[in-house]
Amino acid sequence: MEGLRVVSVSLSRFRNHNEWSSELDPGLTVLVGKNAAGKTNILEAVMVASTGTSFRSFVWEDLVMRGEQEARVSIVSSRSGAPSEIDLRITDQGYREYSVNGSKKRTMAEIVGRIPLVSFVPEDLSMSKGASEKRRTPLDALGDRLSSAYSALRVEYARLVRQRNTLLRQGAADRDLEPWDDMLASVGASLTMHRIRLLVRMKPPAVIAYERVSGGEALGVEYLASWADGSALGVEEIAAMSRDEIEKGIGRSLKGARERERDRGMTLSGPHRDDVVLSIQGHPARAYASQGQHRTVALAWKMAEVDVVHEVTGVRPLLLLDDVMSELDSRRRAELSSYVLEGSQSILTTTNLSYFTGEMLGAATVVELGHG
Amino acid sequence: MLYAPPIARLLEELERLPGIGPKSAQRIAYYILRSDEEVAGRLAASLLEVKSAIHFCPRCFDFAEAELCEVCADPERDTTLLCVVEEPRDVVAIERTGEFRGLYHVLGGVISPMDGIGPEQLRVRELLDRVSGGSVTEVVVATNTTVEGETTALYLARMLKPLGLKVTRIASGLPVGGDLEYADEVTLGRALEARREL
Repeated sequence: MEGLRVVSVSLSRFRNHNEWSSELDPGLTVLVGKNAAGKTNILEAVMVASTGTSFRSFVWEDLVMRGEQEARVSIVSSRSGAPSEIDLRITDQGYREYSVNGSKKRTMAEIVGRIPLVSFVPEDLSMSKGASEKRRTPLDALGDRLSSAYSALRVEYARLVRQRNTLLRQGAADRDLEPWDDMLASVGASLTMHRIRLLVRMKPPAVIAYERVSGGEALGVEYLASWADGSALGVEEIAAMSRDEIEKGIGRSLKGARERERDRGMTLSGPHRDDVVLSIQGHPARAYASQGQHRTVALAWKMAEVDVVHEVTGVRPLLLLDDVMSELDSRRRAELSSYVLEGSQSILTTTNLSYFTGEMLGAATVVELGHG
Repeated sequence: MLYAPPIARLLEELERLPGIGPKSAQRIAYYILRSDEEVAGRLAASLLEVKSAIHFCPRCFDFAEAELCEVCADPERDTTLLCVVEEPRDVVAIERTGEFRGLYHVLGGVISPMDGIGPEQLRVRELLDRVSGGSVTEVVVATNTTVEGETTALYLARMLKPLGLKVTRIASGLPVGGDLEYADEVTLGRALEARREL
């Protein structure tokens, strides 16, 4: 297999695992065990050590086994034959230290991208339902993992919104608000540009994957900008706008909503209020999609992520699949299985091996987990 | 472990200092205990001296020993050019470059609503007084490139431009002499976004 291969993973004092290590199959590794055996914790350890983030929210010190002082995660990988080892040390105070081949790394930018990965967990299945935040989050999380400029902009932007909201709640004068408006429009425009560029990459593979898994249905992807006049814009339409136009759009919108913002004490336009609008056969997915269609959207989105990560980083990402087989029907399970077998290295957790075909298990390494 | 009260008091004072945790405090305290009395005497004297001899320069609000700070007292400096910085340590950094021959103005921080810091908490009023009717024609805003530093720069530009002053911002992005290969992606991205025509 070309490109990246994760050779082994070992954890010590990480959540419920005192000592755990395993070699990984170049193709599929299946972690099988009962609930609370710590299957998800292993996937989390891999993700935290390679990206500094997780598919679930966490506090660093909670990653350390209760009553212990230090947790460690080590991941050995090889990229086109060259071996490399990432070590993560986390203390019970939440202090963490990353090193690569024994030399300490000061910034996450030096870690992120060494092991590109895509995770698929049950929570992802509802991405096309619910609040707009749920639809933005997968896109932003992908951006964070692909580009340190993307994540730095997100951190800056979130800070700007908090600072500006503080001023709004204090009923600050226009004179004090205006420089924050300018900054928010400027950083917000940069963030929007980055987000749209990513969405432009995501849309075609997502549409193709959705069509295949659904058996011919059309997925639509649009962007609802809080600063444009209310209607969703085509992804291509926003992509054609200049940074300047977006900045002016956000600036105008902030000015127009000033009084409403003062009343509510919050910033009402900008990329933190934008929405990715998905539709199926022309109908908004959020309101009209069936349970099964929501799952197909999630599955197609993940497949598109794999393609985009592959395209951007040049290697096929490691797939982390947490107990998603049980959530899919046999048709979608077969699609996902064929995707997994097509050439991605994957780690998959399950409570039950009966979801897998003999063909799949025959090619896989099965690792059983006992109780913690 | 229980310390003798004089040691405990020293540790307590040391731990108040920025960047000093319990372990560093212990290391410093033990060093002082092991050293000659002269070492402790010099340290104590220099602490008291710096507090009694140093005050804020009434013009630029940098630290000064004489009535005015060295820069403000220097007749050779270009009084048409004023560089606004956040903290006294920024003056030191810019002076080290040897590239700037104008005067300084130390704000004493940046605007940050979450920390309760607005223009009134900074030396903005003093800045406006200083430039109106004076010899200053250009103000270079050299606050940091953080969100707060940039916003403070925008705020100052809005206040200063109507007074007929030229307001400039130090260029951010690639460190001078920095090799593209080693510049991190964020810095590089910024440098590209802020590129200027030559």
